[in-house]
Amino acid sequence: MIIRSLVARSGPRTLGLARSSSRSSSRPLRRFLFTETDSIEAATENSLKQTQSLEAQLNAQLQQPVPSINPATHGTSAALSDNVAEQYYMYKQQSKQTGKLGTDLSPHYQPHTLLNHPPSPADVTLELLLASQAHQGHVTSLWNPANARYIHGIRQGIHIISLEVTAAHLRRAAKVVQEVARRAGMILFVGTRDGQDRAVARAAELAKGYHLFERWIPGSITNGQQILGRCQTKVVNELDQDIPGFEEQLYDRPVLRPDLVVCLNPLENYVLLHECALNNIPTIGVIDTNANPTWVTYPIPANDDSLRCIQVIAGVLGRAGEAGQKLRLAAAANGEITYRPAQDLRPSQSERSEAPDASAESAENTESPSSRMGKNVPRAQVDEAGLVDTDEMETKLDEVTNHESHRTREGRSIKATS
Amino acid sequence: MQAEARAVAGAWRRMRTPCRARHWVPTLERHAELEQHGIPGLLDAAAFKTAYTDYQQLMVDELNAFTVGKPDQQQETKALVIEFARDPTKAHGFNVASMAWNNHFFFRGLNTRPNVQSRPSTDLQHQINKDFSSTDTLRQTLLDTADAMFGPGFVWLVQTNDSEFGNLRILPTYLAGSPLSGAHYRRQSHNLNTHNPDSYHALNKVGSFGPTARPNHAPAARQPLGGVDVVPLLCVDTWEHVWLQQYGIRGKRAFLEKWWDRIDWDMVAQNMTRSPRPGQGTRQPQFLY
Repeated sequence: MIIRSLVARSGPRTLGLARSSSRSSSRPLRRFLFTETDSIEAATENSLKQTQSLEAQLNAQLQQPVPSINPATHGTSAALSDNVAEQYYMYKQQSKQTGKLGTDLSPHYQPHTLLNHPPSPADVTLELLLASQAHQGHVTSLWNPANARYIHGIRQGIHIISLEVTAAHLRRAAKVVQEVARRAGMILFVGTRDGQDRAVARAAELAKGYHLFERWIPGSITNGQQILGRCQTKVVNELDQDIPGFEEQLYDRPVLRPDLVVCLNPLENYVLLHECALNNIPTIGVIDTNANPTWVTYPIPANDDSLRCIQVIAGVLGRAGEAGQKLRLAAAANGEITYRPAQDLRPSQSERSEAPDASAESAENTESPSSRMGKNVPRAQVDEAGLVDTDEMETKLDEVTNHESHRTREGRSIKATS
Repeated sequence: MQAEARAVAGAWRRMRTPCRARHWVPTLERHAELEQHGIPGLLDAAAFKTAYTDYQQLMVDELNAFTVGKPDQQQETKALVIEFARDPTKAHGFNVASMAWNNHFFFRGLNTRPNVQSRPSTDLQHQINKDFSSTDTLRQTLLDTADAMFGPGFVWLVQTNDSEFGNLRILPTYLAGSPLSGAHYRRQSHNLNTHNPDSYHALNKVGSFGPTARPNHAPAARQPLGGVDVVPLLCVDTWEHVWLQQYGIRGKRAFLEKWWDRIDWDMVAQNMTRSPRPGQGTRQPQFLY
């Protein structure tokens, strides 16, 4: 139908051209529903009416009516199902095929990539930090003089943080996070300001740690038994697989504590940082020019007021944790345990019947929170120095179980300290 | 998904100076060869330079001038085409974005390897036979449509995913018109100079019933989401700057016939959208004419 009306409007010459160039002259004309003797003007006037009458005739003859075409998009009402999932699948196919045609866009900043695909420690450059506004400190009158060593200078009334210093401290903090993750430590990411929740949750997801973006409840570490005493715990092995059968023992165990705390806004979390310091928990914090660098163990001098800067830092630390977890699991797959297992978990009944002679080497590692159990791992392969002898451990176990107030032994966790 | 993640992760290192986006001319496969020898069997080196290198650069420059400094700066060209189509104040932006997209689509759909002859795959051939009764008919219809269009434009072969009526259709777009479903405001599939309110319903807004009423498409068709109802598969660029330099003022038909032999049918098959449902589009149409 396109040819008929199109050719009709384009003039008689095109009709002749079409005919002369076709191999069998009658074939294309057979598709047309009017003969050459009809005048062009009549065809133009009748085209719409003929279409409509054709449709009526067809619909009358066929069992299923031919669907009419929507003139806006040339689609038909029966063209696609109402299945949104199918449409989404096709949409994804099409945007992959033709979505980037036309021009090449130069690489540029896309905000969502900081959360979905954050940079790793190797990607940290001064340009990246500068573009993320990490160098912008506060007005000079609000500074904390202890930060003088991190400040490059003054511009437009604010202190400018030296980006080489920022990069160096960020790399150091990333190394700490990676090593703690490699040694199966519990990492807590804290960011309680507006807009930091996604960055914090994403970093914890990458590092297989924990996140907090609401208010820290004071006493969660110093008074942990009261506040977190009812949290669920579980036992996992070196491959992060759940091991059932320890529920009764877990009921009596003390509350778990983080091994590393990363705080993205230390100015609002003094209580958290103080509790960590009281309990020898190392902390990493983003220190602005008005913050106190002594509140944290590993300061990262940067702008804590810029969400983009916070997302870069949280992303980098999350990636470092991810690398550490990968190393830990790779070592576990080879039979090496990179941490000290929990000292006082008795093997469950089924394990005891299977291997009565094997030493009950249990690993306490905090996961969600949880404890780890190294299942019958031969002593020779364990990569930890200072592991106690079997007999000594059994005596200690007896001591512990027989001692009435073992639960509140000086308020510390029973995990062996080095 | 994995490759995409890795590509984006490496992007942090590639982005030496994180900055706002700018458009650049896209490179074709074996671009250096094409610049030196042109497209064998279709365009010589000078014609290719005019049709692609210079013209695409012009479109890119115009697009940059239109978008730099505005909120649309970081959007891809296809997204700009769909966004600008519905805003008459952005008509110039639509024109240049659409021409950039259409032109790149045209050149990407050409078989540029001199010794390789491209043929439609079996599935595609089956679909063509179903919808056009033969490849010859498709060729005839397409070339005649392109030849009959007075003035520049594109002629597209589109897939409409209509299992009941036929998947493939021919769609002409005049000037910088776009076949994309989301940009249907600027489809420009009719030459309005040769229409009156009686011949083209879109020009006739009188009345809600009667002989001049817009035909009622009941039930109100729900457009599929994401603009997936129209999928462009291949196109021919009939703008004069493509063929005039090499083929002369009367050479449009010769150019069209040579273009048909240089179609990359693998790219056509790649552009087709396959429904995840099995058996979609395999039912025989009830009526063929």
